Amino acid sequence: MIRNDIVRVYREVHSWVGILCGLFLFIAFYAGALSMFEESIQRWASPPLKPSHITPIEKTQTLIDRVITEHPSAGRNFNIVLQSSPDRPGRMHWEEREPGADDHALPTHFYADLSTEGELLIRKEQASPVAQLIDTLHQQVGILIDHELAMPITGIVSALYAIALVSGVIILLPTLVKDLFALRLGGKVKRMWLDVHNLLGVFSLPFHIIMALTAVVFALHDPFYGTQMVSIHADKKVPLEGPPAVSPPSENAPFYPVEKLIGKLESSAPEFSPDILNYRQTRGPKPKQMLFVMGKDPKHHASRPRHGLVSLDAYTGEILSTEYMPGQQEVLQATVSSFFALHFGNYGGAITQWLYFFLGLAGAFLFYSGNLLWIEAKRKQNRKKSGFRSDHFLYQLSVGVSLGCIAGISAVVAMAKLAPGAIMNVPAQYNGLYYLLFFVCVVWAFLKRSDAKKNARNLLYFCAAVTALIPLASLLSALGLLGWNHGDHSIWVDLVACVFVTAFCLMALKQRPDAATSTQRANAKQRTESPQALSSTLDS
Amino acid sequence: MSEQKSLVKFRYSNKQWLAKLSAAIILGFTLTIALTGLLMEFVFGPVAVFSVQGQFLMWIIAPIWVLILSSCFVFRSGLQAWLYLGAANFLIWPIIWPW
Repeated sequence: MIRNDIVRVYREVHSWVGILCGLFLFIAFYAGALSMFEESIQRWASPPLKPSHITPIEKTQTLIDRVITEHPSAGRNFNIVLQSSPDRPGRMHWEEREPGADDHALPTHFYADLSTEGELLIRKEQASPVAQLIDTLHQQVGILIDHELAMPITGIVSALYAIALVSGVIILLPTLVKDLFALRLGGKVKRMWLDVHNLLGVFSLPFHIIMALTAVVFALHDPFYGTQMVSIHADKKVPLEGPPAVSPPSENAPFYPVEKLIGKLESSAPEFSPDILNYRQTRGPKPKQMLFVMGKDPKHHASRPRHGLVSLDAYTGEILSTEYMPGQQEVLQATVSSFFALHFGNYGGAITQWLYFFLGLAGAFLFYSGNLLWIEAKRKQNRKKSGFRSDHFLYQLSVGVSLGCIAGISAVVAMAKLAPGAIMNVPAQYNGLYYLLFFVCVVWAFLKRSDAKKNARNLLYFCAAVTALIPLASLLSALGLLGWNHGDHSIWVDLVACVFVTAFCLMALKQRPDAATSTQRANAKQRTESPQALSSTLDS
Repeated sequence: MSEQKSLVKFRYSNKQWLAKLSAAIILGFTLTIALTGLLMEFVFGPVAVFSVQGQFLMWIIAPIWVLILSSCFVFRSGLQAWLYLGAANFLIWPIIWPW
C-alpha cells in the first residue's frame, strides 16, 4: 500500500505539472488528432492540378534526362512516382526551396511528364500550407516560432506530461478499483469530472505513455545525441556507416530500368508494394547516387510516417540495405522503428488512423478536464476572496486557449478554399490568420469576469460557426460558385467538420447560464447528506 | 523507547521540491547517460552513434530520465537527492569513461 503522505506529495506534483503543461498539450493533441488525416486535409485545401498525360514507365529514363538537362538542380533529389494519384499527379516529382530556407520551410512541388508528342511538360504546384501549419502546431505545442527554439519547449512540456502520467497513476492506485468504474454522473460536478478524468486517463494510459516518451525523444534528440557523442561515444572510433550510395559507373550513366527494378523487388519481397522511387545524390565534389524505394507492407509497421524504405543500387538494381524495410528488420531495428510507428500511428491502416484520431481528441479532453478539476478545487479555497482569483483566471485562460486553437485551425483550413487568392499561399500569412483567431478568442474569454460562462458559450458558438465554413466552402464549390472539390478521401474533412460543428453546438447548449440549475438540483439532493455540498452550491 | 521513536514517523512533503527536481534534472540526466554507457560497454560493444544500437541507446534516455524525474520526490530531502544521485554518477562514470 502506498503511504498517504506519498500520495499527497504526488497529488501536488500532478496538479502542478498538469496546470503547467495542460493547455500546451491540449493544442498538441487537438492538432495531432487532426494531423492523422493530414493528407486528406492537404488535398482538401489544395487546388487541383491540370490533368496530364502520365509518362509510360518505360520512358522514365528519357523523362529524367530531359528534366535534368533543363533543371540540373532537380537531379540532386527527385522522385519517380510509380502509381500516380491526385496527390502525386505526375511521373517525376521534385521539390525546390527558397535559397537559404531551412528544411522545415515549405517547398514548391514540381511535376514533370512527357506529352504524347514527346514534349516536356513541367507543372508547378501551389500546395496549401494548411496541413503543414497543423503539423507545426502539433510539434511545437502551439507556439509558432523558429523550430530550433520551439523544440526545447516541446521537450519540457513532454517531460512534464510524462511526470503527470506517473504521478497520476500513483495517486489513483490506492483507490483504483473503487473509483475507476464509478462514473458518478449527476452527482457533484467535481466528482463527475474526476471520474471522467480517471476513466479517460486509465484507459488511454498506454497511448499516453507512448506519446510522452516518444515526444521527449522527438523534441530532444539533438541534445541527447550530442551529449552521448562527447561522452560515451567520445573515444570509440567506430566509423560512421556511410549512406547506401554508389558511384556512377560512368558519367551520365543511365539508371537501371524502372520496370525491371520493380520486377526484381517483387521477387525478393512480394509483400512490399513500392510507391515511390527516390533518387538522391550525396553532397560533395564527387556525388554518389542513392536510390530509396518507399512503399508499404500492410502486414508490418513502418519506420517513417506512412512509408517503409529499402535502398538499392541505382545502376544495377541490387538491394543495398533493407534496414528500414518493413518485415525485413533485425529485432533491434524493428524495435527502434516501432517507436516511430507507435507515435505516428502508421500501422494497421485506417482503423489505427481513426483510433489515434479519437485517442488524440480524448487526450485533449483529458487535459481540459484536468484544468476544470483544478478550477473546482481552487474555487472552494478562493470562495471568500475578492479581487484576483486564480480559479477564474484559469477558467478564462482554458476556455480562451482551447477554443482559440480550435477556431484558428478551422479558420485556416476553411480560408484555403474560401479565398485561396486573398490569403496567399505563404505560411506566414496562415500563421497570422491562426494567431488572429486565437488571440481574439483569448481576449473574448477574458472580457468580463462575471460573464465567463456566457463568454464560453458564445465562444463555442463562434467555433461552430468558423468550423461550419469548411463544409460551406465545399458546398459553394459544389454549386460552382468557387474553388474546387476533389471527390475523394478529402470529403472526410467536410464530414468531420460537420460532426465538430454539431458537437460544439451541443456543448454550447450545455453551457447556457441556466444550466447551473441542473447542477443545483443535483446538489440539492446531496444537501442533506453533506454541508460541503451546500457551500459549493452557494458558490456556484 | 524504540516504539516511541517510530511513532514520530517521517512524513514526505514537497518542501524541498526545487532541490530534488534540480538534482533529478542535472544529476539524473548524467546518470541516465552513464547507464546508456554501461549498456554499450557490456551489451552492445562499441557502436557508431547513428547505428541501430546507437539509436536505441539514445531512445532509452527518455524512459530512464523520466523515471528518475518522477521518482525524485520520494527522496527525503534535497540534500539526499543530490547525494544519492551524485554517488550513483560517481560509481558508474569511472567504469565507462574512455580514458
